[in-house]
Amino acid sequence: MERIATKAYGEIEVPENSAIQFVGPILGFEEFQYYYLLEVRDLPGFYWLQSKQDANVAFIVIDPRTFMKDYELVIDKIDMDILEIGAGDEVLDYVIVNIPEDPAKMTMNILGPIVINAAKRLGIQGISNKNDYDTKRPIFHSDGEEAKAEKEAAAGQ
Amino acid sequence: MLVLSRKENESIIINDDIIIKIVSLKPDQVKLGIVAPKEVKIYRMEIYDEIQKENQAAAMTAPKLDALKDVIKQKKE
Repeated sequence: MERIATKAYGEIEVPENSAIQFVGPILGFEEFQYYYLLEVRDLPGFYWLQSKQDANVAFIVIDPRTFMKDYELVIDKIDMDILEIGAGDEVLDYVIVNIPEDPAKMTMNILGPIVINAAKRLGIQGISNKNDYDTKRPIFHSDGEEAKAEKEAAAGQ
Repeated sequence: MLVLSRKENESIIINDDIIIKIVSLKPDQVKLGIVAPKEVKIYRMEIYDEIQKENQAAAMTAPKLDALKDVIKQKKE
């Protein structure tokens, strides 16, 4: 095990050589190449992407399908190629979430997905080729919006 | 930055294999045609800027995870 500094939990122990090298940078964070993927305590499905170099640099990521059933990962082949995905390699894909003061207004960035080759510990931030994917997709819908959507659906019938 | 003047239907070539052609010119918009090898990534700059901005916003926040846990619990009920 090795001790690392984290933004959320101070110093913790992680298995050795478990850092993921971002061979395609997290945009704006090009100087931070190595990250650990850590579970967020008491929040199943939420993970910290914690920079190895700077404890203050950390993102919360989730599997977007948890909140968006029809989510599709569509990125350039060249981005997939730099992950060196071989037969049997486990590939994980996440999106970064932004949690504002009111967590009910949390959004996810489905325009810039995070893709990780877990077997080779390589990661990238890709750019989605889906035309309607944006950086601020709401995760929860307010009750008002849901009611409105139902109303519109009913009116359309 | 290298600045070149081009007219409609004229092109420039970069690195022997990337061709950028001025397809049409309007007072407020230029249409570009790009021919490049498939391993060359081409995006509108705003996409990069937008993702970068959002990354910075996400990294800066100190999220209130306890409040988030409550919201998720509430939404599941």
